[in-house]
Amino acid sequence: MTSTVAGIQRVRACLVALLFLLLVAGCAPRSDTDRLTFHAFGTLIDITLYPAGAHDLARLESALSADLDSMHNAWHAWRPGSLGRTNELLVLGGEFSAPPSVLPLIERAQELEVVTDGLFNPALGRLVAAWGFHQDEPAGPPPDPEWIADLLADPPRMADIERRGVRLRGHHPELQLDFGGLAKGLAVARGLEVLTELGVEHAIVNAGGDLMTLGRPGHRPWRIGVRDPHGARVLASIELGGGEALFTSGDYERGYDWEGQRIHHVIDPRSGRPSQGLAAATVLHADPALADAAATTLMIAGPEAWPSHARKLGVELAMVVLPDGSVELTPALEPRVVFERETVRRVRVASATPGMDR
Amino acid sequence: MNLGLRWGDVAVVMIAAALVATSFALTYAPASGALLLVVSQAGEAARYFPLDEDRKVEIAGPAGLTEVEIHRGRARCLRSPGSQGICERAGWLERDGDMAVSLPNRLVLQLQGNGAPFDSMHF
Repeated sequence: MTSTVAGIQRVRACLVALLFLLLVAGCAPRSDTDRLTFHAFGTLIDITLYPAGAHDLARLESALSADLDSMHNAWHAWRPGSLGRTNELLVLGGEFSAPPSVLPLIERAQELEVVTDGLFNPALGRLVAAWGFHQDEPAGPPPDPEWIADLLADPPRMADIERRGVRLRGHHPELQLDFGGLAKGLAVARGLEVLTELGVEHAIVNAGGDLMTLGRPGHRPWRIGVRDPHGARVLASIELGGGEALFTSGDYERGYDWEGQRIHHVIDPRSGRPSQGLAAATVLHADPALADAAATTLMIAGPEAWPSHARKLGVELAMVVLPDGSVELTPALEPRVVFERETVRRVRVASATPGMDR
Repeated sequence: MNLGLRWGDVAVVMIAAALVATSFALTYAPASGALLLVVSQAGEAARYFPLDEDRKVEIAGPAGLTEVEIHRGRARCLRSPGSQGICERAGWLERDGDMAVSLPNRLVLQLQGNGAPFDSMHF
């Protein structure tokens, strides 16, 4: 009899304990991640870390900001640094040893210039500067149309840089490198390397809105909000696995108004003017540098040609926003995007034939 | 099987079960609107402001003051340093996930509601 009573008491104790555990679980904070926000690489860096409470945030911030700021100083398009010295030597036409920090960008940019048919051309830094974007606060006036025409009659190209091992020689007097469409991709990749070296297994490195994932937060995917290019609202959400980079190039990022016209920083090498026809181009790819450069390329390619350029770049997951707010996306990306508000959207394939409105 | 539970025990179990169910429902229910303004600033811990209390918040940053207005369950960047007015142009933040950015003051304003928050924002 005593043992029966003891058994009942144990069952009751277990029930109470179980209910208590369930109650605690139900009231637990929702976020299973930590966030770390700091300023580096000239932008806001937002690191998401899983699981929460498992990382030395101060140590991570210190290591990441040192690395990212070092890259920012080396690659800056208009402040003194490795890229500035490289630009000075390229226009002189003599042979010189490339700074180790700049050589990988030149190599990558030369490959990308070929595969984008010249739409991605970081050798046109002089043109970007002429439009008023080589300063912290972009400003006009825009360059003289005749000056643009003269420059584009024989424009500098990445192919004008002769490369023999680490030795470089410039073959165009107007060469000026500006890696604005590539550097952030390489910086995000380096940020993830730093985190991995410090023992982090599950994270997102977000640099001014462009991001890449590392691992997964437990058994769920990363949940990413995609902001409307022209407002505060969330346009869509997308779930990412590990090792996926999401980059966007848009007309809203850097710019100024000149005589009632919006001047943005994505310059079309064909016209020498800010690209037209798309408000934003987004690329999802495993290679963050390619995703960065491809987003710029699709933005320049415009509303008709973006699908064919995406295919040529090996980009299967891409989306563009048109000036009227409608969205076009590749067939492979469509099932992964959940639109958070009513949006006119079309699936586009490389034949450049518009699909049906949804 | 007689566990020796009396009516009082049953009542306690039922109330506890109801509490558990309610807490789960409140925690994991789909977003029904924003509840909080989350201010993330470089080098600072995130700050939270409830949206059900009208107020103006001044946030100091490296470039000056960013003034934020909370009014009738929404928030906006009223004034912020920077010649492009990017923070102000975002307008009213009204729904879960809506955000405004002030790069000169190195801060992000974002609304958070009942739903699972985004792990990161792409823009």
